[in-house]
Amino acid sequence: MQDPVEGLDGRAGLAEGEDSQLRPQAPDAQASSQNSATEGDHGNVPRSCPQDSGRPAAPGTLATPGSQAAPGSPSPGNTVGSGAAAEEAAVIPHSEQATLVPGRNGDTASTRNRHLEFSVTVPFRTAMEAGMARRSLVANARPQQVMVQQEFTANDSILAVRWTTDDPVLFRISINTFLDQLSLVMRNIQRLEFVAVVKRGRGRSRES
Amino acid sequence: MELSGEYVGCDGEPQRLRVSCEASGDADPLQSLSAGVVRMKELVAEFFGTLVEQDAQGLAEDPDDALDGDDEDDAEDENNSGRTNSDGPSAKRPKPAS
Repeated sequence: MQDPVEGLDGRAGLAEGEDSQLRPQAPDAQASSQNSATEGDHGNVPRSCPQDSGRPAAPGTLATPGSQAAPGSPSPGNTVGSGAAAEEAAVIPHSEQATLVPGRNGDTASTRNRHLEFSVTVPFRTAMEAGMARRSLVANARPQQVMVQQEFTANDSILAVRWTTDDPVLFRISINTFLDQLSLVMRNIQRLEFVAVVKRGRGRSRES
Repeated sequence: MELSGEYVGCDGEPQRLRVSCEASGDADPLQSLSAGVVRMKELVAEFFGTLVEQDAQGLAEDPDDALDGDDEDDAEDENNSGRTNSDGPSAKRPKPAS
């Protein structure tokens, strides 16, 4: 009597196992329920047990593709990600080169295009003297403007002169010419002062 | 009083030339300034003299000169190859006599 009871318990256990395995997947659960009905019909035959053990393997094999699909789906994503990373890695050096090359070229261009500059500041005693010198020197410098750019600025009693050119030889010629003319202007200013003093002296002598 | 000059080259670095023009005692300030101008002329001549020499040396060491030399060598090679071609007919002339 006990033997039939044990047999029923075993079947019930198998059914529960199958149900628990198949519950996550509805189609598999339905298939297993049909199989279990068939098994119930052939329960008396002991040979059907190996077949039953073989059939549960099918759900396992079905589950395996699912498990494979799960890791499969991330792998393409990983590939895409690695591809994107590779693209980013490829782009970054390119962008860096793009940023560096213009900089280098810019530096080279700026270095090549940079003009030579020379400036002189002359401190006169008064703004009037600085103004007189500037007017005289500007007139003399006009013929040289073609080769060398000159800029004269009188700020109060300070005269500032600036040259710009590409050729250092022209620099030397132009600056030497300016300094010679500056000396001449200073002498003229001194003479004007001397003449003024003399005139004042004569005026005083007449008054006396 | 100070007479000053400043040079800025291709590298952008400023170089300054300074001449003091202090009047001593009752000396005329313009006279002192005139003396300063003379001194500045000397400094400018010295400074730009050195600069021009450096510029000339830079041109002499220009790599393009080496390339020009290579071009001359190539021209000589072409002349030599021409000479070799001219020898061809003279070698062939003895054959008709035999």
